[in-house]
Amino acid sequence: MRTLSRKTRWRFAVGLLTAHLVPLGDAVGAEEERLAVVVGANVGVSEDEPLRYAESDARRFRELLLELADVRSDRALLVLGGGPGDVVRALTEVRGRAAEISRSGKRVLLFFYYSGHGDDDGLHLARGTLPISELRAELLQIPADLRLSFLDACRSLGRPKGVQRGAAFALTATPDSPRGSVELRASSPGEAAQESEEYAGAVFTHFLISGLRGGADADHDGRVTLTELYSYAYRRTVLRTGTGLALQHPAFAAELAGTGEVILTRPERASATLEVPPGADRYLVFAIPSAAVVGEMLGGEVAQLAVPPGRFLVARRNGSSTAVATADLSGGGRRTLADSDFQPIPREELVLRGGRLEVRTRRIEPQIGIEVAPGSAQSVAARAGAELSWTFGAFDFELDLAYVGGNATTTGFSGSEQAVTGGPGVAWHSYLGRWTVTAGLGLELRYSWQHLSRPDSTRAADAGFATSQNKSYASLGPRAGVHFALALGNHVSAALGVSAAGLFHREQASLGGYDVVFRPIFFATGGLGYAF
Amino acid sequence: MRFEARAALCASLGLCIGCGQAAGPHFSPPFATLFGVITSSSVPTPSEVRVALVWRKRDPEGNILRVAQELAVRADFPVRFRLDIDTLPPSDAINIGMMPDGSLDPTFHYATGSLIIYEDVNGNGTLDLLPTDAVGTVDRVLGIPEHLSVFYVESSVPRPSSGSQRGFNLRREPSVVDPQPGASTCSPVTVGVREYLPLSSEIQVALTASPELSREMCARTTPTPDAGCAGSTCSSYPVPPGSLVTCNGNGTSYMYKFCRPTTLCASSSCDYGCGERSPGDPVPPDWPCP
Repeated sequence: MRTLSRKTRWRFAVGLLTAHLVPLGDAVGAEEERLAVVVGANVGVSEDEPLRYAESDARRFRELLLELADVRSDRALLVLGGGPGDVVRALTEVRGRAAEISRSGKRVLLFFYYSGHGDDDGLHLARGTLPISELRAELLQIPADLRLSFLDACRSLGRPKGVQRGAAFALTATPDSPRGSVELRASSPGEAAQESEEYAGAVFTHFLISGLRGGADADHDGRVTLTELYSYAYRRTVLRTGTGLALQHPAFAAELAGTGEVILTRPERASATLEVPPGADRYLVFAIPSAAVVGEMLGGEVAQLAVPPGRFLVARRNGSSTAVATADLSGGGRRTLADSDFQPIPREELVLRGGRLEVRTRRIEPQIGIEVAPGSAQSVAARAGAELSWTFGAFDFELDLAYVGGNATTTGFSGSEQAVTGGPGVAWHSYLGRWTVTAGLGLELRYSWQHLSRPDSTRAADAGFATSQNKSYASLGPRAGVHFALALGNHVSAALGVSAAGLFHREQASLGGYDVVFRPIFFATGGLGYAF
Repeated sequence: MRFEARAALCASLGLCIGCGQAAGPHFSPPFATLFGVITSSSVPTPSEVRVALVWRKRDPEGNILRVAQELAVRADFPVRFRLDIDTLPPSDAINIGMMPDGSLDPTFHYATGSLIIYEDVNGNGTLDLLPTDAVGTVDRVLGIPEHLSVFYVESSVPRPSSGSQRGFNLRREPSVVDPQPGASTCSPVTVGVREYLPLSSEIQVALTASPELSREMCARTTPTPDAGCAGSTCSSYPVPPGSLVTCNGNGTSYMYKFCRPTTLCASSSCDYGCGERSPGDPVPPDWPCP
């Protein structure tokens, strides 16, 4: 067994692509059963800094195998945070199942995936190190026709990743379906593999998953082969890590016999597919509401990605601008997104941790301001409250709640008036650079309290008259306003708004009875918004 | 939306608006409301008829000071009207009460006023009071309810009722009439007693626009008590030229009233004199009665 140099790797890839021209052995056929052991370990040995995404990467990889790689759920063993013994036990269990399947005459394909710390000594697990030699020995004992190992291991310092150089594979070719062992590693010897905040996972795993979901389907035949996957993962990983501190070259080692392609997944058979238009740098697909990264597509041409049924947010990066679209594939099917489906996203709605995009659809904005109501007992008042809004595409649903208080004066009385006011509304927003302009309509509901006293209350009391009046009343009417928000950072924006409302309420006549009156009010507010 | 849902929504919104009542910018419920009727009018009713409550206050020198307070009128002019008193009397109009021993009673304040129905000739919305040296009027008084005043009381401590109550009262004043020929006293006579009426009483007023009503618009007057005589002390003869003479039926007794001509708001007084002769006596020269 040997490790291929980069030049040899490309020769190998070309060879497999050439083999693609001959009738393919369908590795996903009915006569093949697939097994998987998926291991994730955030915590390594005591010297290792805990990883953030190793175990979640393992879960995602397993889900992908179940979804697109014809691996049954009961045949995909998941070991999270376990020790070497747990991994060996899982491999032992799979060995038994593989033997059983083999006895039935079916072909067996084994996936082994590891995400966690590792170095020259082996895989760093929570309760010890599993030597890489022991791992390979365990894998070889499994009676599988083809063993595919994906090792995304990471050294602790700065969370880089690395895997020991393995023994070389002997590359042979026979007329049979491919048999042997293949090992894809996140990085070449001496390199560090990296986790990415943007992807909320390891870079290599991210591209493995994206490739298996269809991103690697270079010939658009609806199938992702081992060759295509490696080629895709290699190029994308190198390109992405090339912009960072440490370049990372995924490595490939194989010992194969036979001909034909190794088909890993069939995105064409996915129950749900997302298709994006060309004209962007790239697309990132997030699950809603978990915000987990589902995959990535290149934007140079029409691209598609197999996804599980669900709702998705597709973020389009093009230069410095970002736009998002949502797709509801809860019932499966295909969703082809057009340019018009994408809405620009203001800066404050982006999570900038490592550049990972996340749309914050909720926003709360404490506000203070002044309210003017010409022709009313309370002509000027202070207003303080908050606005909560939910974004749905270009539209917002808003909920206002505010306190209004100030002096009130009538012909015969003076005092104070306080109110609790607010109500629901809908708004449309647009973006002008860093500014977000929102125009909205809504309903203003208000309940007010008046405490009024006669200006000459001492004399009035001596004359036997009541000196004060306490009144409370409700009012209601339409509201319209314009709101300008300037992004100040990742979450915060400064905002100014002007609104007008017309409130209907009952007004007591001095000589008894009442009239229903219409009172226009105008208010201007300033506030700080927080998107979350 | 189903009809029931729409109806429920409308009902909810309607209930919301119908909940409570606000005090609007012009909210000022009246302290008292008076009702009146025009019993007769010898002058055409002008379009700008207003009503003022003119409060009278006597200063330490005995002068009568007047302060006008406009009243909101809801008029069914020219016949009926309603007056809303929505402010307290001006502080300038308030008198301090007196204790039985003649000292001031700081716990009792009162004001006395008259209703004046006037034509707002200059259209400034207020009754223009006149200075002492005024020779003419600005507004025109159309009528004043006779023998009726508004009495206002502020009292911070309970006191025995004299018929009035705290706040605004309507009071009928006794009338002062000229002495009759042959009467024992040749001085003006007070007829009737002071009487408090319910505020809901109908105030009757005749619109005469009589010139002497204009004196009620004077901001300050210094009245001089009318002088009279009685019995043998009277210097009743001869009757001063220009006097108003009233004789009895057979011409054996008379009463004259001589008022000195004066300006509108200047001090004035009238002298009364009475004369009498026996029926069998010869008629003296210059006897004023036929």
